[in-house]
Amino acid sequence: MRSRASVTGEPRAPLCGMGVCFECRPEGGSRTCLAPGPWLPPPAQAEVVVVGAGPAGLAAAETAARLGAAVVILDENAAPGGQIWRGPSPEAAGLLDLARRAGARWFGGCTVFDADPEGRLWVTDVSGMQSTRIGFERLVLATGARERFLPFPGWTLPGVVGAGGLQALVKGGAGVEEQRVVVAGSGPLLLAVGAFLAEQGAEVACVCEQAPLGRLGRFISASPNLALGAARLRLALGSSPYRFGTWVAEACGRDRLESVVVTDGRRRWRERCDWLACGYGLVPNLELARLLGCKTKGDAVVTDSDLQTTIPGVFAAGEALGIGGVECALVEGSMAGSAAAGKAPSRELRERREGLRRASVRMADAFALRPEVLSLASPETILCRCEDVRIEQVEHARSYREAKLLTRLGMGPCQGRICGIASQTLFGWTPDRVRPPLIPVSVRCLGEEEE
Amino acid sequence: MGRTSVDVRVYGAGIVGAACAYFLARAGAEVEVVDSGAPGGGATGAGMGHLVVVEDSPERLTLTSRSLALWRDLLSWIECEALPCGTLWLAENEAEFAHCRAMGDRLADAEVQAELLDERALREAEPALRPGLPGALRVPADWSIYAPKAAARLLETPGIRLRRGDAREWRAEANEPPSVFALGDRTPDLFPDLPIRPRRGHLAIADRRPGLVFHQLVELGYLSRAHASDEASISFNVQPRASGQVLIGSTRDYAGFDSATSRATLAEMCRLAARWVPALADFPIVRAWAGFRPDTADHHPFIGRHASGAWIAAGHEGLGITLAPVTGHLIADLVLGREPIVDPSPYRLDREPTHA
Repeated sequence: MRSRASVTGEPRAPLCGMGVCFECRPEGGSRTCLAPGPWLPPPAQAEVVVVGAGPAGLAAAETAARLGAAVVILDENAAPGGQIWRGPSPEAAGLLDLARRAGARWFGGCTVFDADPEGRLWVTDVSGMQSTRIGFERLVLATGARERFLPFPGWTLPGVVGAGGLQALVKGGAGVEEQRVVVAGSGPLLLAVGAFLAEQGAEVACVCEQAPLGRLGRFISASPNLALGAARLRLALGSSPYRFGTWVAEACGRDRLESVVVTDGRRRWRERCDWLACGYGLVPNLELARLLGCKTKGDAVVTDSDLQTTIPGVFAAGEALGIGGVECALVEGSMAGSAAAGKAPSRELRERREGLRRASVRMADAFALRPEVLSLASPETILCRCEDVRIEQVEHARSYREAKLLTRLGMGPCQGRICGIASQTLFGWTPDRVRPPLIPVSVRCLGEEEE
Repeated sequence: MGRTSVDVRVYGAGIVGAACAYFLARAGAEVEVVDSGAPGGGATGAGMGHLVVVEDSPERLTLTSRSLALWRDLLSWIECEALPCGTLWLAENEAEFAHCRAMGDRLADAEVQAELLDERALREAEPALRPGLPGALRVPADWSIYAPKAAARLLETPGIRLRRGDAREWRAEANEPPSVFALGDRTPDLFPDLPIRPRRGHLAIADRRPGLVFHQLVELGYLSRAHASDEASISFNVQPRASGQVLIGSTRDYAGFDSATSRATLAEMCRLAARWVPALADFPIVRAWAGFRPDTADHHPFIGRHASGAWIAAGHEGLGITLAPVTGHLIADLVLGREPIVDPSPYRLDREPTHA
């Protein structure tokens, strides 16, 4: 894995594996975690544009196209499937195939960097060096989610990656065979990642779930469907321990991760490892929705019962409405696709959605973060990886804006996607206004707007 | 809450308010600074941080050159990413180059160092500029700084206390300490008779790639667009940052207080930058934003006493960061009854607004 030197000269390597952290740009070029390729720019106009080709976006595109709308579906990645179906995925291929047969057109390697509510999106390729504009009549935001990273001593060492991040990196070609991995953080993803890594030949030292057993036990016993899936994953994890109520307090190593300190709040012990795959659940990608002016509440886009946002003609589905999982994303994608094609979503879909959303609230409660994981960072721990801003530089700031102004927190190429969420979680700060460009694009691309 | 010990209250913790507080505190006053938001969170944080001598009027030349001298002292102890980059005023044709020469003469009269660069010297100084430019005037003593940090450091001066509060709390009562209002474009909220308008400006910042440009590069046409016209305008104005980033400006228009960026304006600003520095076209822009210059009818600041008894320091248009120290010094002089550092009459609040 290539590493880069941070702005203060520390070694850094990729964290997120999915285009968010910008740690994989060794010379400030394009993100190497996103596969480059020949760029096929999307058309200048489409009736319905779907942004995001995960389960929600694919379901939306398929439904809208089947109902007769002219659909264009865009995704930052070269292949469809989003994060959950990353890599060769029969589910993604199947859904995309259905959508295409209904007339939808697919464009990979397309990142939206600007948008206006009058119906225009500006799109760039993976390099940020080419761009084009696409007009829409209706828009479906299926922008998915990213991992929540919380700072702790050593979290910037190469070898410390997201949980989903390591899965993405392995699917992108990083080898973990016979390497020792600690999986940590929170959420159902941990077990899935542990099982995946075990299947890939990694030695999974342990999976550390910060939520206590009691809380998770009550949740699982009230959710028989989930219990079955969890049991299957647990089996795939083999003899590796899955520990509740434990978390990683520190990552150690000179220029690269060598071990982690694990704790259950009473005892601390060391686990030698080559990788720490650590993520504290998921957070919706709301940048595009917020840029368009869609109302958000907490970490979710606000919609009506047809999944139309507060901006007419703009719909949202899946994780953008709050973390709900694949099944919920598929249902909401169908609903939003239907509404975007002019047909009110069926009662059956609405009812299924309500049940799934209720379950997702219970899941969020079960995996709520314990206070200990919010206070792992020491004063010297880096909070903003792009600008190497340390906790001690911002802990007296009264707002995200104040911290930004004084330290350049959140002002690097990832534009606060990592530290903004972390500081919201740690300090309760509200995020700053979203402005274009949503990701770095070249001066040429920004200049390409004709009068 | 210790209010009795306040000698002077300053409303507004931008760079101008911070400088007023600093010069008052340095004279021994106990100063309370009141702001409802983050220090430097207004125009101070949105601007370029270009410390620049401007000579397009005698008043502006006096004010900016005196302020630069004060800045030089401050920068000897204030850490604010200061870069002694100097300014290159770029001519696009022979007529402008002649203007550069005249400008250099006027600066020399005011004992501001400046040197004329011909085509070849310009190529050597800034190889990334497009070829064929006739020349430029180099003003080596100008700087780029990161102004919010400078404001924060000034506010740490002993004798200054920062309090979160709203300027609208102020009442013109005799038992209150003298109050200085450095509210920038928000001045008319309290003093509707002071016509200060928000003049929007766009900026974009490119990722760290040091070594492209070495001076603040400004096209000569900038001055007439900024100070002799109210038309919407875009000028080539690019700044190397101490961080290795490149800051790209600059635009002027009146758009109320809507700080959303305009797609078309940003686009034109980027095209213009790439026309002057072709290699910039491939630079990744990491952020773009818009902010507001507090603008008066004649584009000169209001520095002086209001009929209500309040002291006003506002309306510096695009020169607030450059002019903060001289403004702070002058306000301290006026409030404390000292000999003023510069003649305050051009900045009186009740002057007849004449177009510059």
